[in-house]
Amino acid sequence: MDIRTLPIKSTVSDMKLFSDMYDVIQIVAYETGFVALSLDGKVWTWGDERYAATLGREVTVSSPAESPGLVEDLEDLPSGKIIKVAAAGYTVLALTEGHDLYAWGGHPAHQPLLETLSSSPEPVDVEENDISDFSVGETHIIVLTVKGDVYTIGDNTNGQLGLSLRKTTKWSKTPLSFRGEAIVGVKAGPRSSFIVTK
Amino acid sequence: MPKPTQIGRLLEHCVGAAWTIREECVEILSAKDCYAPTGTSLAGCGPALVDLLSRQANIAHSLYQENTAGTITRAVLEDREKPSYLQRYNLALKRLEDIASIAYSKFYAYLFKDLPVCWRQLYTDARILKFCLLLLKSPYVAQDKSSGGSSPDDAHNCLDELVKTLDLALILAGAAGERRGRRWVDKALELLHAAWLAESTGREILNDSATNHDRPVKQVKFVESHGTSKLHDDNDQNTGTIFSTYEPFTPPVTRPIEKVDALSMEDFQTYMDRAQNSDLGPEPLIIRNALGEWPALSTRPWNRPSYLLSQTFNGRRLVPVEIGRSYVDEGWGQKLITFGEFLHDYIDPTLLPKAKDPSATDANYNNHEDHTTSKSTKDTPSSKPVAYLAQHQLFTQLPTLRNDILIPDYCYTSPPPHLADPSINQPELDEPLLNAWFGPPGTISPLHNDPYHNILTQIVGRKYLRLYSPLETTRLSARGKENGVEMGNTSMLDIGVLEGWDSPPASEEHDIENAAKNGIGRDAFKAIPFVDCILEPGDALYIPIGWWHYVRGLSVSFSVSFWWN
Repeated sequence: MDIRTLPIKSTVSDMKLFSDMYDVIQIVAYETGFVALSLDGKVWTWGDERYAATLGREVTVSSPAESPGLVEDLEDLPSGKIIKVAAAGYTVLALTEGHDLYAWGGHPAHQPLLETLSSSPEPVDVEENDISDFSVGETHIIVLTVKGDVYTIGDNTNGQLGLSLRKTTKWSKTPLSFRGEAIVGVKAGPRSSFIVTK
Repeated sequence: MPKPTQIGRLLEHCVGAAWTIREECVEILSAKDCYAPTGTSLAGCGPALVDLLSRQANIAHSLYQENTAGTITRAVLEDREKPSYLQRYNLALKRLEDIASIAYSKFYAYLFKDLPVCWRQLYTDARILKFCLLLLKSPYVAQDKSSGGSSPDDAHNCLDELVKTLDLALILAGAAGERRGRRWVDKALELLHAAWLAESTGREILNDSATNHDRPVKQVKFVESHGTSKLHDDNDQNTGTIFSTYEPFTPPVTRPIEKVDALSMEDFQTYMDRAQNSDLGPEPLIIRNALGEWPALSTRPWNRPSYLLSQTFNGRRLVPVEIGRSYVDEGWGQKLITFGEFLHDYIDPTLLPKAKDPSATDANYNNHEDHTTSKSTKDTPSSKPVAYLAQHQLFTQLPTLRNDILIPDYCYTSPPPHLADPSINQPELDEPLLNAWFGPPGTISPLHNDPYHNILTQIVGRKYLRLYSPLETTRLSARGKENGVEMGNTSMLDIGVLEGWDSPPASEEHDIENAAKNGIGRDAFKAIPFVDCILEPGDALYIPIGWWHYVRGLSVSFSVSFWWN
């Protein structure tokens, strides 16, 4: 599959063709760039060089910021290939088939969402849980563990963490009043969160 | 007490803003294609945000109407038995913060020159509405005399917040918008300033009759707790302290730039036209006594902190400052602080007692608008970094200071274009671009060049300048694109380090090594011809287009540059 970026009111000549990527199964956008994932777990990033940490890879003359470049740190991970990506604001997340979550990104003037956030993908420790679903908003992250618990971290100004505090820098389990339904997915809006039940 | 007319006019001004914001939003939302990006209105922000703004404007407008009708007072706003007003009020403030932060996130995502104006207007309108809501609850407006609940600190914090709210719109968003925008914000600040002055005068009268035990409650609540009385003593702008002229280090001038006494516009034109070296064009020139008529050097003296404070709500206005030795250093960053904090923390600690709790206001920004753009600018008391109010369009933000200076006649001449590299030439400016350069001793602008001719005027203190001609460009190791930002107009050479005036910044690669990599060692550096000078108050320096310049503040120094072509 070819990926084309289509600026608003574009003409065919404005289109940019990226031919290096293949078998793309998912594309996500964040504030200043894009992340694409292939069927065999390859992750490519491209975007604004001023926020190079969000690219999760080195920016070089042969691999410039504005063209898709492979995030090599996500190759040959101990828990298998990447099967899903999420991105928003200045944070990018990727999940392996072995339920490990990886994160990278950050904005030079903002408090990072996770302490470990840097320009190279690092595993995210959510109280040692295996992760089954995850999503990221402008300034918060929500994850669903294999055990079925929901955890959040980040800014809570708009109540997006489902907690009563202002913000948190530690993962907090969301107290959910169960109605018997199993939670099967989580999704973050820019400043909101959703939980999908069976 | 403030004259009712000033506060009354300010209230009307706010009602007008709330009304026109609402109108504008309704117009957009009722248009057939509300997605059509017109480029000049809020429409580009999309209907959801326009609707959200519209609803806050509605709330502000109705609260104002109730205020006019006399059915709402500060006491009502705080009445626990009728929580609806307070709830609406607080929720509107929260939503306005949300709107402002959404707009502000676009300021990062785009380069400022590419930023669609709708986001700047959205930010500005959200700040205008916030100002109007804050005003309603301020001690200036609160009509309830019996409550007596407002402390002097309330009055302060409220004025701090009011000023800050509009300054953020001016500095961050350039107060965009046709129907309100800068015009509205300037007017609001002017009215607020008049109200504040009237209130200060009231206090002065109060101070004169300090034995009067019958002091009205309302005046007492405005008495400031931190140092205003001191400023009052200095209120006669021709008395009181001036900035220190102490120079911790003065570099030698080894190849002095030619100096002339103030010359006519015609003679200056002739000077530029008759360049000695026709490949090079006109050369730098110091014009002495060039600023004869300027109030900034006489009746409205910029070298007196008391005068500058009187023009800034007693130091409450926000200014962007650069923190760190030089903008190419690691750890350099930009920060918004109040002018008073700048004076106290970075120019002279004795000037103004420290504000009660500056961290409180800081925390407010850090919420979602952390203006520090670098990672490591944590100040330690022992090694205070240098702060520089640099290259900021201070005069658009503070129009009263603009009246203290005059555009030099020299800026109305026709200078030659850049000869060596015509691509540097810019479209002709309608009028000169003014920038303020105010800082303590030791500020540094690293060696760089600008795409305009420059008349750099010195108003307070002294600055050292060294200039290299555009013909030396190849030897000056221009930078390239760094982290996605074009730095081609800045040299890798750190003059201060190469000359041994400064120690190399620890956090950075050694500049000598950097230079060596580019084929320029210390000997080669010494061989590059330059001219230099020390500017004194009243001097103007002509820096021709493309000339590389290194600028170093020697004492507390205030300069204004005029770019023209």
